[in-house]
Amino acid sequence: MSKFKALTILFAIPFLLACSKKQAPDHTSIYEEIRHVNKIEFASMAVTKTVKTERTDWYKVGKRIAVYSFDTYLKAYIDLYQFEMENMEFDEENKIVKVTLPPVKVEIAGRDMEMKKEYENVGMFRTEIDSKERAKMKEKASTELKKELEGNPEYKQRLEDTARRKARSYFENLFKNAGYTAYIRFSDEITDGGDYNIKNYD
Amino acid sequence: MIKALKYILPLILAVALAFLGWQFYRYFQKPEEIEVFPSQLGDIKEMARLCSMEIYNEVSILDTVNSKVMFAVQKQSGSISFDMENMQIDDSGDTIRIVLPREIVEVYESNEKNAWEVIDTKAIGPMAFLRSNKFTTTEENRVKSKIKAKAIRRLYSNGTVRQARKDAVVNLTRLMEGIYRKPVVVFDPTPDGCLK
Repeated sequence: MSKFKALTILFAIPFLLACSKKQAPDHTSIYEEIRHVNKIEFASMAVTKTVKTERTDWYKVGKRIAVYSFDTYLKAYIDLYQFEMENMEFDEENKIVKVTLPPVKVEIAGRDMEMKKEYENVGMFRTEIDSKERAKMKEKASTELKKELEGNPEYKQRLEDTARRKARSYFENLFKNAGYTAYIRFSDEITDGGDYNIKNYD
Repeated sequence: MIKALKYILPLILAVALAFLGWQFYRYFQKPEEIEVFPSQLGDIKEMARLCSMEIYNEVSILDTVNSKVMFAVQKQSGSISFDMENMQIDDSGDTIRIVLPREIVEVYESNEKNAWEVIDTKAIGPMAFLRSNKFTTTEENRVKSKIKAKAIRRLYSNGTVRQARKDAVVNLTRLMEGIYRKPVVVFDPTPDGCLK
């Protein structure tokens, strides 16, 4: 009898150890920063990064390949804190206004929290891909994206051009509703070339 | 023969050990087998959104999905903005009247270094030691969508959205007064915001 008891206890120990209490979801803020801003966003673009992990060797049985993707968002905006009343010259007689807008800036707003599974092939004898590995893959993809953005100004340029066009049409319409014909230019266009480079602006 | 074996066996053993050592060396020296493909640019979306608040958050996450627990730390970035193209503007009178639209609350994972750091995962419940403690992509995404929903709810409950709307009223009034050159009144029908 005592042998049976001992065996029962011996077998029960791992089960008892394994049965831990279910954790209640807890999302606690460690650090929080709120910034008061005054921006108008005129264009946004999603950039998709795709990342692959593959660990295959002749001595390993089965494949271990996974491909994931996620989007990172870029935004083009003007900062209205840099926009003063002096940036608008009104000609009441001709109902014309000349507006100099602050330069268009581009920033990375953030990236998708979720990762999209594009492909996964993990053999029976291979270890599953875990969260730490996926986090590492995401990190590497984000670092590569930053490098691409720094090394290739064309990425930002496309977004900036669209934002400029949109800002122009938006403010032109707004002033039109107010009864003015608006000629819009951007402050960086003046300093860049001396030539305003705006067909409507004399 | 035995004499010959005495010399050959250690030699074979040495070769085998060297081969194994070389394989171990290769295994540990192997560069990361993570390949990042060139970026694919999506379509550019045009908009006119007044952004009055930006948020930066670091949160610790303890969550359970399918009897698996995850503890992680995430850096979040977000903004609260307003669609200026779908704003009601009444410019028929001496005073311009504008209705502040519904806020657009966006929360992303930050693009900073180590924005998503998984500290540990474990399996819980009966027979936990027999089950995998690894989260699948779907399970991990479930945790993340909960984090996002919680972060947005928090912005409403802690008054951030309310403050963003207040700021937007001030900023919009200033901008529109400059454009219309008339008194402007921005009306906010939902000062606490409108959580979907």
